[in-house]
Amino acid sequence: MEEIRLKQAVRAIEMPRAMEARMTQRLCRAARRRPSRWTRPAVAVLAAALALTLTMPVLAAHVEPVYDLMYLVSPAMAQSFQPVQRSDQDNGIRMEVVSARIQGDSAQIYLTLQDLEGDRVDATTDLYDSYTIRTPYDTTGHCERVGYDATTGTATFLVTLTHLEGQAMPGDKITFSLREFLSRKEERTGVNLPADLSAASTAPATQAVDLRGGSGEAFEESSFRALVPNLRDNACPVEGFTLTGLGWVEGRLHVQLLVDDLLDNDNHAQLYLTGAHGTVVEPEASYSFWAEEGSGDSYEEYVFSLSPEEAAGCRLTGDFFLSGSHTQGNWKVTFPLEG
Amino acid sequence: MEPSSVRPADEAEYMVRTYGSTLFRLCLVMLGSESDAEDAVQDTILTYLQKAPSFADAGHEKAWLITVAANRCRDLLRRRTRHPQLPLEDLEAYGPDREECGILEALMQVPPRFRVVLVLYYVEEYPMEEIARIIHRSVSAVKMRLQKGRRLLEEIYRKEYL
Repeated sequence: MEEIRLKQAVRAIEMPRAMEARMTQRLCRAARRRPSRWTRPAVAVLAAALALTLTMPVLAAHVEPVYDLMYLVSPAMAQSFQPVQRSDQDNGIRMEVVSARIQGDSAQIYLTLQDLEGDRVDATTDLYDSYTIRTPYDTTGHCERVGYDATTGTATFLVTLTHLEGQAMPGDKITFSLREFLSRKEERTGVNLPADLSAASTAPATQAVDLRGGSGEAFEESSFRALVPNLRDNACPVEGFTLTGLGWVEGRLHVQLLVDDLLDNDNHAQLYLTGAHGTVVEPEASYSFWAEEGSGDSYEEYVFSLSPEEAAGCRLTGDFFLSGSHTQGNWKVTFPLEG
Repeated sequence: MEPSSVRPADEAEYMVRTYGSTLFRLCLVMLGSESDAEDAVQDTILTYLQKAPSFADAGHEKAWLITVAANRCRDLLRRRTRHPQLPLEDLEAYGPDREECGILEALMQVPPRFRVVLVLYYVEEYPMEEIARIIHRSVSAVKMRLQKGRRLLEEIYRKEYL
C-alpha cells in the first residue's frame, strides 16, 4: 500500500539539528526583544546593533529597518552583507540597493522602494516580472518582498541570483533595473457571479485560439476549442472582469472570463462552482489566450466536468486578485558585487 | 499591523523542539527546498509567538500551526517561477532511507493542491473535515483532491519506481 509507505517516508523526515539550533536562536532573540514596526516583525539583537554601529556609517531612516530585517533572518548572514547604498530616483519613487553578498553560486541583494511624494508603495507592493538583472554571466533570479516599514513607507525586497552553471558567483558589476510595480493589491474571495448555469448554451459556437498558457489535470492544448463570446450582459460584479461566455462543449461546461489590461495590472481570478451545501467543484482545466493582439486583454476559459443537472444546482463563484495601483518609471542601479 | 505581544524565549525553544519537525516535513514536501522550508517554518512559529493565540488543547494548537504553515507554502508557491526538486540523495539526508525516498520523490511530483491533502490525511492523519478547515475548502473538495491525489501518486510511483 502506497499510503503506508508514504506515511513512513514523510514521517522519517526530521528537521536537521543545525537548523533546529539556528532557528531556536533566532526566535529566542526575537522573543526577548520588543515588537518592531515591521509587517514581517523584525527584531535586531543588541550585539547586532553594536556591530552595525561600529561597522556602518550613520544609516538613513529608511535603511535602518532593512538591517533590522536582515538581522532577524540571521545575524551571521547579515554580517556577511556588504553595504551598497546606491539609489536612483524617478517619478517620485526612490529605488535603493542597500546591501549585497555573494555566497557560493548565489548572490543576495536587499533593495528598497520608497515613494517620496505619496503612498504608491505599500505593504502589498509587487515587482512581478518588471525587473531586469544584468550580469556578465548567466544566472537565474527571483525577487520577493520581505518587509514593509509603514513609518517611512518603504518596501524591502530580497533578490536572489544563482549561477546557471552552478559555479561560484564571481564578483562583478550588476545592474538592477525596474520599469514598473503594482501596489494596493486586494483579494476578494468567494464572490458570487449571478449567471444562470442552467441556461448555458448546449451548442455554442467555438473557435480555435492561440493559447498563451493553461493548467489543470485535463489540460489538452491540441484539442481545445474556446467559446465564441456569447453573453451580452456581464454577470461579473468585479470591475475589470467580464463574464463573456457559457456553454457545453463535448459534455464539459466552459466558462469564459475576460480580464481587462492584464499586462498592466496582473489582475487574475480563479473560478469554481459552489453547490447547495457548500461543495466546491473546481475546473479540471483552464486555458488562457489574448483577446486581440496588442490589446493586453486576456481571456481565461475554465472547463468543468459535471452533468447539466449538477450544474443547475451550482453557483458560479470566483476568487479575484486585484492590483489597485500601477506605477511606471525607469529606475536603474549599477553596483559592484564583491566576492 | 503590530504584534500585540511577544512570548518568552523559552517558548520559542519549546515550539521549535515540539513542532519543528512536523512543520518542516510539511514545508519541505510542499516546497521542495530546504531553505524555503526553513523560512516557512520560522515564519510560522514567529507568527505564533507574536499573536500568542490560546488553544483548548495541543491538538488545536498543532492544527493552527499547520494551517499557518500551509498558507505560507501556498503563498511561496504562487510567487515562484522555478520549481526546485530535491534529488534523492538530498532527501536521504533528512532521515528517510533510499527505498522511502522513491515515494517522496513521486509525492513531490503531484501538484501542490493534491499534495497538501495527501500529507494532511495520510501523514498527519487529520479527518477530512479538519483538512477542509485547514485549506479553506469544502469537505467534498477535499475528498475529490484526495481521490485524485492518490491516483496521481500511484501512477507516478508505479511508472517511475516499480
